[in-house]
Amino acid sequence: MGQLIFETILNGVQFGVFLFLISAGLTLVFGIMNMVNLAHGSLFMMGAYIGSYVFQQTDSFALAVVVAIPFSLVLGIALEFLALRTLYARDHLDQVLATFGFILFFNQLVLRVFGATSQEFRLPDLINFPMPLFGFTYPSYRLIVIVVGLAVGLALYLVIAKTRMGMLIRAGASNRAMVGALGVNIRMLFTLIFGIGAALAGLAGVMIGPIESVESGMGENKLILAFVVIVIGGIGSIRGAFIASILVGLVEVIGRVFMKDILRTFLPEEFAQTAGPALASMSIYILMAAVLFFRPQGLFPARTG
Amino acid sequence: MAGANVVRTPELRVSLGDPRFVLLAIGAVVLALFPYFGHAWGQTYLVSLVAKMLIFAIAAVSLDLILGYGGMVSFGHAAYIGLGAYAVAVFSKYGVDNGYLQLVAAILGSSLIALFIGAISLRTSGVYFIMITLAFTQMLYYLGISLEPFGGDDGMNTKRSDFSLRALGLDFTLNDNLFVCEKRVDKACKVDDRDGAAIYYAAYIALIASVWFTRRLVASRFGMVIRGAMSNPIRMQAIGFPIYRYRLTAFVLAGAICGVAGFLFANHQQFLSPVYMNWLRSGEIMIMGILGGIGTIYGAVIGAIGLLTVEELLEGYVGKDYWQMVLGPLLVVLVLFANRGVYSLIPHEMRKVPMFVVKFALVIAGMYGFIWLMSKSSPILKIAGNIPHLPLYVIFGSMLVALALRFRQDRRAGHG
Repeated sequence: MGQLIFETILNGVQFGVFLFLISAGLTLVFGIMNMVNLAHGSLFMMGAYIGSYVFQQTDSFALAVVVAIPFSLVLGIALEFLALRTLYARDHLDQVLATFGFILFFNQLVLRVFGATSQEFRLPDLINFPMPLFGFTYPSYRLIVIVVGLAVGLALYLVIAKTRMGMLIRAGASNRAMVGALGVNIRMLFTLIFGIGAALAGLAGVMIGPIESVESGMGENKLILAFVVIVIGGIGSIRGAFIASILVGLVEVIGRVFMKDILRTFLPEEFAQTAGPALASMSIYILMAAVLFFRPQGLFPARTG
Repeated sequence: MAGANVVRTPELRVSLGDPRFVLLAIGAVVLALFPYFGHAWGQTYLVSLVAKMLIFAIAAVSLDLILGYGGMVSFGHAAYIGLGAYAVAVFSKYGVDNGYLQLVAAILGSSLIALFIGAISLRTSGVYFIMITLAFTQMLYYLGISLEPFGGDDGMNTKRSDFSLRALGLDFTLNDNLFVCEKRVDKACKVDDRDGAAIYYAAYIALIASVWFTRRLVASRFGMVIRGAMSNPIRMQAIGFPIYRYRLTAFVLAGAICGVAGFLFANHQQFLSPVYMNWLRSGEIMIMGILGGIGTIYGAVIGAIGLLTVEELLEGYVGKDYWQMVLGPLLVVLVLFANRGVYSLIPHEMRKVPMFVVKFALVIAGMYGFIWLMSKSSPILKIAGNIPHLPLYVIFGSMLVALALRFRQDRRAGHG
């Protein structure tokens, strides 16, 4: 039981950290340009696909990671430059629709190019073994995901809190027009942020690829979770996205594993069997609805007014 | 919220001198006669397809009520389709086929859930509203997946609702079931059952009723209040309108109408699946409204028929495997270049109609020809070597060029 609890909690953290990689870019895009980008999940998917493709060709996981990140960066910048930037001035409805179109396109594209079966993407044994930790064991690769995610989070925090570029990003998130009026090329800055967000999504894709299956449409569920995260965390706030990611990750994973047992303590067995899985998959949405009910702007609102 | 403060002033009155009214009337008559011709030509599938279009048109109309007139971008409208369908499934699972009961349950169920979702969602606005409505629909979707008694993930078969007079408690043998007539042996009834004319007309009547109702509603004082709340909520509140309550009422009405669409859809498919509530479905309903033009009601009907027609054509001509690859970029292009919707393109004056008809015919012919060309060219290209889907690259490429050109224009206009 102790092992199970330990593993579940770490899995929750790992899932949360992974969600953070996807949400970080999305929340900045959302917060600064006020743009709803549903195609972010497609960037994540493309990262995973390219990673698995490189892996199949070269049999090297390291190379897959190294190729997938710049690929996602370039793809993100290209997408932003060619299509998405015309949408900033439009209302959310147009943004939702156009990026929805991109989802359809990318999902079908990978089906055509790579086929309908899920892609082969294995981990080398060197980084994938049960690792002893505090008297329990835990898969070493998941630990690597946690460490990488925390490192990325720390790096983002340092960039945003300590550098000039970070200052501009924060300023842009709270008042875009004013930053532009002060002579900052906000469009250029934004293309860069979009690219970084895409690269992080690609990194998330290539890291989660070996754990989950690489297939068409894999980005959509993650995209919705990422939206839940940034809405809970407060749009445009990296700190909010981080805390909300961990929260959502923990609630999701712990709910999946223990919801039945929790319900069993005060409800009849039969009911717990049926309601457990239902309640588990609904729990993060309930969390989101509750947060929005009490704090309509999320936990850490970056925009004021 | 760039677009929310654009005041759309739809023309609520129609007259015989208005080509829009004439076109709509022609459309209504054609749709009314469609099953007759469809059956005469042996196109039973087409009748079923158009019935599906009409059902989705009801859903799109109900979304337009809150989206086009209330500015409430609900990204979870498919929830009510699912709820209406579940009303049929739950009753039929326990052997209650009574259609009147099922219909009332569908309307009540979706209204209640809409009341709950709306009461929480309407506390937020903008992107938060979009996301929270999406989240609630996802909740219902996962709830549906885990409801094993009702098929869970796989869905379940449902029986058609019983709309006979017997279901009303009247013992008439004269008028049997409207939807199902296995028990009757005369020929006319068997034709009815096979060809799905009954479900077609049920959808047709429901659509006419919901269009009529929503048009009346948005023109009423109530409609004026929610439209006012869309263009300037603060002023409306200052005047003294409790806009939250007005919006919530509109949200619940839209949910109820969409619940009817779900009820009809379950009867049409004779199947229930949680996929009815998938967020892609919500997106599709939204696309219908926007393609036709939001804030017009009629536009939603045009959009629903148009989108499902294009999907069907693409699926038929381009192939099941990659029609979405064409539809996706098509949507992007439509949003970027024609964001006012199809309905707004129809002229107001009679003298402009011939030109419009010519242009419209040209566009349709062009699209049709394009799809035909693509279906014809792919075998040649397959022979040509390892670029089997060159047409797709051509469309996507030209789209990118068009966007790049547009981007340059924006720059020149000083938006850069």
